[in-house]
Amino acid sequence: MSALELERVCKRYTDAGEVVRALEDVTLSVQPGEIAVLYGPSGSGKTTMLLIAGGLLAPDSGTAQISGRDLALLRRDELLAIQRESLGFIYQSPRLMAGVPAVENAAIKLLAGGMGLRSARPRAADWLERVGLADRLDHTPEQLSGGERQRVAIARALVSSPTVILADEPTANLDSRRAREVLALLAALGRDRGAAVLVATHDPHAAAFADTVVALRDGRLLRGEQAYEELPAAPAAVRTARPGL
Amino acid sequence: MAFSTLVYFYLRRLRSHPVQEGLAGLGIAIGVALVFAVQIANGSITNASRHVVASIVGVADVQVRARSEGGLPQTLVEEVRRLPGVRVAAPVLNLSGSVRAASGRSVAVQFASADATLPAIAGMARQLEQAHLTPREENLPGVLLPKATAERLAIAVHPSAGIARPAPVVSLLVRGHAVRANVLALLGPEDVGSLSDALAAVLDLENLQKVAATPGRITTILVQARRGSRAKVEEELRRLVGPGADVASATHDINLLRQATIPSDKATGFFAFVSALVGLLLAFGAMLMSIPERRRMIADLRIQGASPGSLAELLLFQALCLGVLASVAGILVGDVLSRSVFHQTPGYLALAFPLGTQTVIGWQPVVLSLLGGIVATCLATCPPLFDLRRSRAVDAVYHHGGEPGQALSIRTRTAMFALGGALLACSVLLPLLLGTSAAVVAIVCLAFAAVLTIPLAFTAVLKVVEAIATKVPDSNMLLVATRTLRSTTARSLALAATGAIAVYGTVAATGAHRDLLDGLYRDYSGYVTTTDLWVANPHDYLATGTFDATGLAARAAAVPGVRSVREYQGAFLDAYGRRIWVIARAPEAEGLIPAGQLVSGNRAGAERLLRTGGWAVVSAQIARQAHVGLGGVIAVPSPTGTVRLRLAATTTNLGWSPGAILLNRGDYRRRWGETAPTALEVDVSPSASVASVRGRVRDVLGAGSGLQVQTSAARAEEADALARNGLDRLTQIALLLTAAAVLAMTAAIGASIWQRRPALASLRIQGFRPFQLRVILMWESVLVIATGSAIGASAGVYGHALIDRYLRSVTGFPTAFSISLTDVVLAVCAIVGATLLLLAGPGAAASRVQPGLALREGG
Repeated sequence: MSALELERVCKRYTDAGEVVRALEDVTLSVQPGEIAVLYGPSGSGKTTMLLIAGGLLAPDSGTAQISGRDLALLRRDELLAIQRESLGFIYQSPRLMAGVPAVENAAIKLLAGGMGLRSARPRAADWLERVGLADRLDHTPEQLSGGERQRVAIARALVSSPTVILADEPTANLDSRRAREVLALLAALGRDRGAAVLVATHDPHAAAFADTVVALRDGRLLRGEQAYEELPAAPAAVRTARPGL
Repeated sequence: MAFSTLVYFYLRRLRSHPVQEGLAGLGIAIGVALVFAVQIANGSITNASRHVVASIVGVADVQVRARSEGGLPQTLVEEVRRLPGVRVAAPVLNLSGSVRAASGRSVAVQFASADATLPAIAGMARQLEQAHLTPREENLPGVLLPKATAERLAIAVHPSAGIARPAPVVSLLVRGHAVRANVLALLGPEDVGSLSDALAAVLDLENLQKVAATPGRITTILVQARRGSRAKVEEELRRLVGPGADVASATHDINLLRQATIPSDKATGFFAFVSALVGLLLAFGAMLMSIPERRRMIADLRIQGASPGSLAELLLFQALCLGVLASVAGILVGDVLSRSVFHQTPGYLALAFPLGTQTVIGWQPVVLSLLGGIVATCLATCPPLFDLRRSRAVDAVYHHGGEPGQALSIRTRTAMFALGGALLACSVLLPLLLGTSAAVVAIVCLAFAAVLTIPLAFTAVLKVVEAIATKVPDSNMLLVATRTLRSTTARSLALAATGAIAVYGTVAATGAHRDLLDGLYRDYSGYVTTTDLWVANPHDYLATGTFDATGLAARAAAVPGVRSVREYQGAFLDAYGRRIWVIARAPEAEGLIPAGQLVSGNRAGAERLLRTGGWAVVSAQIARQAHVGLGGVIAVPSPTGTVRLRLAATTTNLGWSPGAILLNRGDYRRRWGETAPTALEVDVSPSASVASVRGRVRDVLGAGSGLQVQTSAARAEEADALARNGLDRLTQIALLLTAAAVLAMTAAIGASIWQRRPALASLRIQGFRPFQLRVILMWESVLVIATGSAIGASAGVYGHALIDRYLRSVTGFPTAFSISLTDVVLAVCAIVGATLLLLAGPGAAASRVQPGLALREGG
């Protein structure tokens, strides 16, 4: 059973009276422990696809499933429980709470689930250690670098041990070294924890960490060679490795 | 910086931060609107009345005015005309009374006479044809009603003044008589100019004398002196009329009215000042919310090489634009307020003055309000300029903790707290050292002290709540709320400061207002409840209008159930540049001095002295003006010459703003030569029913009587209502202040919630349910408003005491300080509750934010 499965998903918007086809008949399956990287130019529908995959946006047609459960058929509280417990969402701007220690920022998801701060702190601290921030637990976001903040956001997403990790441009604000660190971390965590990871990005280095590379163009999902054509100025090493082909 | 660049930056700011700019403008506009409206409303009373008086007196420059209602003999006019230097002299009979329409509506008016000689002075009757005054029914006198009076009586006003057909019949109630009259014409502005806005009734002189049963008597002679002869004419007039009348400028009433409105103007002005202060601080609060991004803008522009001078220029230009726009909006709203909400003319003044009712706008209030609003805005814009002191461009914003531009270090908070403490000490010490004149400064110090103590107090509150939330199970949402508030320091503090100032103004103003009304009510209640029934002219709640009472007291005393009847005398007296209320009660009456109104002296001793005669009890402000202390001699003009009375005690103004004099009835009768009562005090036997005795006394008066029989409770209520009407503006200001406070807080917090939607969306992605977000938002709002309100309420109670002291000392109104914690708590709960209720909408909408919003960069 796939951890994440999108089947024949369509989504259209109306913009200034004009119909925009954001997703057109998109089908994708990500297995536990698999790292899938999604490319596509700005406005190609990457974020829309992640939102639908996470149950944060309803498709016009088609289905989105997590661990075999069709998100459209779930009751609201069931969907919320899945989002809280089985999903980890990472996005471009970490949106950490300023002035609040990293460990508490990482614990926020557990607080939403009703766990007390005293119980949540050790778990969040454990995740911060795993992402390499053991000595930064009580630092506030203002005292952390961009890469460190993104790692806090990753710890926050993973603190509930999700089975699916969705990351939207997680390296957009980072330099290439930090970006590679974050991508490596995501890949390692995904494989170690058996979680399905779907990363939407412009970063050509991301493909090097991927089991599968897909791309979106005009709302349609491209695979294989066609997907690699969407990589922006891909380094030679990535082109040579061509994971997923 | 080039003008076009300044305009470009401001337009960019308007586009990018319309909410913050709108909020700041709202705060400024509220302050400007209140100040402008109060100035216009206050000024309009005297300005409108000036027009009315001018339209009555025309070209007359001198008047001879009787010192008592008994008036002057009409034959005196001929003698005046014969004086050298007199060009024209016209007789006028002015009396207080009321007009009752067939519908039962009645209104207190000034009756004014007109005769054939009046047009000669080009005054009131300039355009009146004598035909207008000629009754169409032989047996009914004719009366002309100005448009404003007709409107109050709900008599149809024709588009152009003219003779109403069929002529309505009204009852004229004057000096105890009720006489039916034909309304011959409704006077519009095209007929009588500003007089059309007056509460008055105009009759032919002879008819008015008949109606009032004062044949051959007049109260005023209007005189126009020949060019260059005025001084001589005045001298001749004084010699001619002797001590029985005053010789004064024809427009002297305006000076007296201006004096009469000074205390209520001061009270209203002070309340308006508090409102303006609140408006300014609300604007500060709103500007404070925009400070983080203004500081970021300054830092960014400095990085781009902008000089401190050009940045200061930019900020001040933006303040100027906002100030002008907001002040103009405030003036427009203020104009609407002054014409609608604040338009009520203080009814109690109609007893003694010819009042106009129109709104008059001069240029001074417009200029003052506009400049005040602009200066306030510029001041509120200043704080970000402090960043220019730093040598490194970005230090101020990016090298602090928290969100960029939101930081406020603990050192800064402590320094602000210390400064707040110092200002609080000033607000306590200044009134002690400098007296009540320093109350205004103390009020300002107190307001700023409240704002400055908020940062540290808020930090302490958050720490306590955090500690509680960490320990108490199932309080995660409270915990998240405290974390959110901690991360948005400047915004949270701005919101708390807005709440503090709003509550401060409301608690202080409503508390002082309640004390003022309570003081007035206690005064009237104590004054009228010394007897069971009052017989007096309708609407004459000060009992100053005489009536023909021949045998009436004896007949009333014979009514079964009546224990005793006392004749009461009262009048108005022009002295010390004010129209003073004279009270001469029977020596056997109880409670000659209303309880609780004594300012200095001993009540029992002063009453004993009053009963013996030769002594007076005077309002403190009159005694002060006459430089007379207890036991000293105060000179009072009377128809028989100057009376010298010794001062037994001083009181408040007893609710009549120019002040009052209480004296022995025997002294009054002897020196004023007036025996006609202005009221009868009727004591009812303990075994009899007051209601039934009231009915029997009314029967004794007969159907043709223009007198009214009231129980003391009903009279107290009527007087209380009239006093409240006189202070309506304070009620309205207090209400508007509360409403403005709620709106300002709702707008500020609502905007803050709306701006935070991306952060809320992020929480939704972390699995927070909309309900949980609503709980977080509610906790945030409660913590911010409650902290601000608690500080504001504490400062407000002290501010209330300061305002009370100021009002009692400067205006002479009988305020009585009392703290009602229940009222304070209720006011705070009402403000907090209303704000939370209004926030429910934006909160619910924000809690349903689409999670995808969090994924938008910079959103």
